[in-house]
Amino acid sequence: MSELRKGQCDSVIAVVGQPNVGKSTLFNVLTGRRERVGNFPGTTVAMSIGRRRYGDKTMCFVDLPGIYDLKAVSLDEKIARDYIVFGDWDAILILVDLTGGLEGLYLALQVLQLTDRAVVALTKWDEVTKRRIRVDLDGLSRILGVPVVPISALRGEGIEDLLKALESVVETSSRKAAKGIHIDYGSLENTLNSIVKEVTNSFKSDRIDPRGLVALIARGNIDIAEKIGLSHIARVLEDTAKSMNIDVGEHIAESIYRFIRGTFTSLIAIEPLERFEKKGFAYKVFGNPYTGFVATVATLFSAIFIAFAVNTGFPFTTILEALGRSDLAEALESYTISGLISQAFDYLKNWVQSSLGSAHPVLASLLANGIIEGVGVVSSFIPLIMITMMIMSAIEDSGLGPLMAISMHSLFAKFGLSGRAIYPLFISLGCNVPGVMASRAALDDAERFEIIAAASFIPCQARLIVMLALVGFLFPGNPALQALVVIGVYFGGAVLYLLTAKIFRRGVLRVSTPPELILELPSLHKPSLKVVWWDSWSLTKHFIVRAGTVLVLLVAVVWALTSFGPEGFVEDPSQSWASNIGRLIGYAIKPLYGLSEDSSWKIGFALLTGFIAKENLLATIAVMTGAEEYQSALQALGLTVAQGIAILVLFMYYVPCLATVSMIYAESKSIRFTLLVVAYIVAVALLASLLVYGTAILLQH
Amino acid sequence: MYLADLPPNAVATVVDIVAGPGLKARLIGMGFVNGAKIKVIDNSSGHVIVALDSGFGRVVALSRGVANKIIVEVSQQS
Ligand SMILES: Nc1nc2c(ncn2[C@@H]2O[C@H](COP(=O)(O)OP(=O)(O)OP(=O)(O)O)[C@@H](O)[C@H]2O)c(=O)[nH]1
Repeated sequence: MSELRKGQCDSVIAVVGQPNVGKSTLFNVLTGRRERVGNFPGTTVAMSIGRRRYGDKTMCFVDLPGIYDLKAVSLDEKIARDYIVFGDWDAILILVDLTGGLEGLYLALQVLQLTDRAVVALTKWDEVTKRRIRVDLDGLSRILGVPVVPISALRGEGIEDLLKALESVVETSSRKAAKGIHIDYGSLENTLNSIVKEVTNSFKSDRIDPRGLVALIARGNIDIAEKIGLSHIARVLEDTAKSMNIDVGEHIAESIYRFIRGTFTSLIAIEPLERFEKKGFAYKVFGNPYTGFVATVATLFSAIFIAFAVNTGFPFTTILEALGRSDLAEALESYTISGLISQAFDYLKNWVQSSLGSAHPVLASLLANGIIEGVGVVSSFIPLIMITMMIMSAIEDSGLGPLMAISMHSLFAKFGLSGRAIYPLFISLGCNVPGVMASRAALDDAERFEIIAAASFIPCQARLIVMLALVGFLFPGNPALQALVVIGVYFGGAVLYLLTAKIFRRGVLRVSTPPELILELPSLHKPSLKVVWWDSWSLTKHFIVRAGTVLVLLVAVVWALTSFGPEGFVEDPSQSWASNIGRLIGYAIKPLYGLSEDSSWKIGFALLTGFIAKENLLATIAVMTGAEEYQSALQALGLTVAQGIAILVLFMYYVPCLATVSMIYAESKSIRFTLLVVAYIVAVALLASLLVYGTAILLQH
Repeated sequence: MYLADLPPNAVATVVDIVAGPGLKARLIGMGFVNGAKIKVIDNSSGHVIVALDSGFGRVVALSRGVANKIIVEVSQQS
């Protein structure tokens, strides 16, 4: 990483630790902002660093993925391992969380075998002392051969000591070759020693102790041997395994754990296992399969409810309208966060139109409807995403998330998802954009892509409003049937979500094994406001930067399509290219549902504007039919009940909206995958809607 | 005996893991190795919750499929 050197880093420090060790929290207090500095060599995974001034020097901290083991199976493990072995760093900062027991030392020892240019930080020290875990720090430092610094990132304690220790390691280390900690591998020693000689000759690095590297290779990282041109080591290890009848990799791991148990139990006093019990109300409730299911659904449902009530006034606005108080509903809506934002942007748009509109109509329209509109759409999503992400972070930080996941796992596993896929499902009920983003809760990449593909089948709040208007029109005076249809649409969405996950897992991602859950359960605690803020803000920034830019661009494209037609600039959208596209869509669906000429192109155009935002579905039909309110607008389309239900189904599932498509792209980073998902959703929705149409016609006869 | 068959509160020692290399590596990374002592916290429906060796330490939830791949030897029951 010579770029790092050029980029004003006096020293480069690689930060490694097991998942949940408190690395993000430490980065936040240590360096604040993290910036992307290209990719890890040979991958597309972003490498990010944080900078910190210390004295007159700048230390750069490289954020390595959280891993349990240096044996590389997943991409994350490979990245961390290769950076430690081959990277151009000055010191390694190893994080160990003793509240997770002595097992936390396993990764630390693997790294310390490789080098002593390292500092061990014991994280969450406030919690360690609270639990009265007594640690002999000097003894620990003596055995590990590197400085050991207790820190509490949450309280900002120990940070100065940590920097000092790192600085002294950086200062002194370059004077001598690194020496790793010695762990005895018993019967393997002879084989290992013979390989050490070869490695010493062919791999020159004064950062890495050859013996440690050999142990790492023997642990099951043969590809490292290949990288340093010693691929025949594989055969040597195989022969040893055969003649001694052991699994070499496991033997190495067991020896490290034996070393941990033998050496550290006298230095770190922890309660014996027999006395250990997981207590607490939450464990009882979420641990039980039935109450766990109910509690999970109830918790997530109320979380989404709160997020939406604050943000859009929904469902109170709808209730007030149903009670005939649309005046109150409007007042309430205008004082919600998204109401205030849209007012501000409307004001801005009007101002541009009125001050520029007469002199430069095209420019004014571009500014108002192409650019300000796009920025407005992005802004209107920000509070919603922020609030949803805050709730999700709070659940995750409290330690409740993993408990919820296990309570849902049995059901979801049948569809190729783990229990964690419950989050995106629920968040999508509010809005698919953060729903797609919540795919990050997934356990692995396969699951993440399944969720990205499936999330938009869940009807969001905007679609609920469309749905309510349509059922009200189709089944007037029959609230039971209305409710049944609404429930049916949600149920259908959930089923499509699960089936899509399964289909993508098998067909696209080619994984045939069911997802297995191996999940560490952190202890429950009150979520820290700081952590929640950091997490949700960084996710919101991700939305603004990655999805927001795509979205602004797409809105500008849509503006061009609706403002220009065969005759150039047009004021009336029905003369534009967009309306021609709407007409094409209309022609395509007309024969499928036996629609009339006139209503087919109006529905086609609504489908097109609904792609921009689902709220537009009804608004467009209202504009096109020139009706004052939705009921008469729908009336004007002259649909039969069968056609109406089929169109309802189509409206509900037909395509992710523009913002969701941008998010699918931002999360998958693949145009091909994004297009595949969109095409798949359109096809499935058409099929579902035609099935419903056919069934409805059969039922009528 | 398999980990999945242990009742709550049983304390046992891990003897072997019969799983593919990927799954095995993940389990070993979390501390499920030959000789590791574990205690079953809960074993109800789809999953088993176990505490590992070191007392106030790591608690891990395993789906039944995984728990069925870990061979254990019971040392004590309470
Ligand atoms: N008591 C205490 N808790 C902490 C401290 N630092 C982090 N935590 C908690 O530990 C948990 C994990 O912290 P993160 O910073 O997200 O850990 P991470 O290593 O980045 O974890 P991954 O995101 O899984 O890689 C959170 O619930 C934090 O609130 C600390 O100094 N004291």
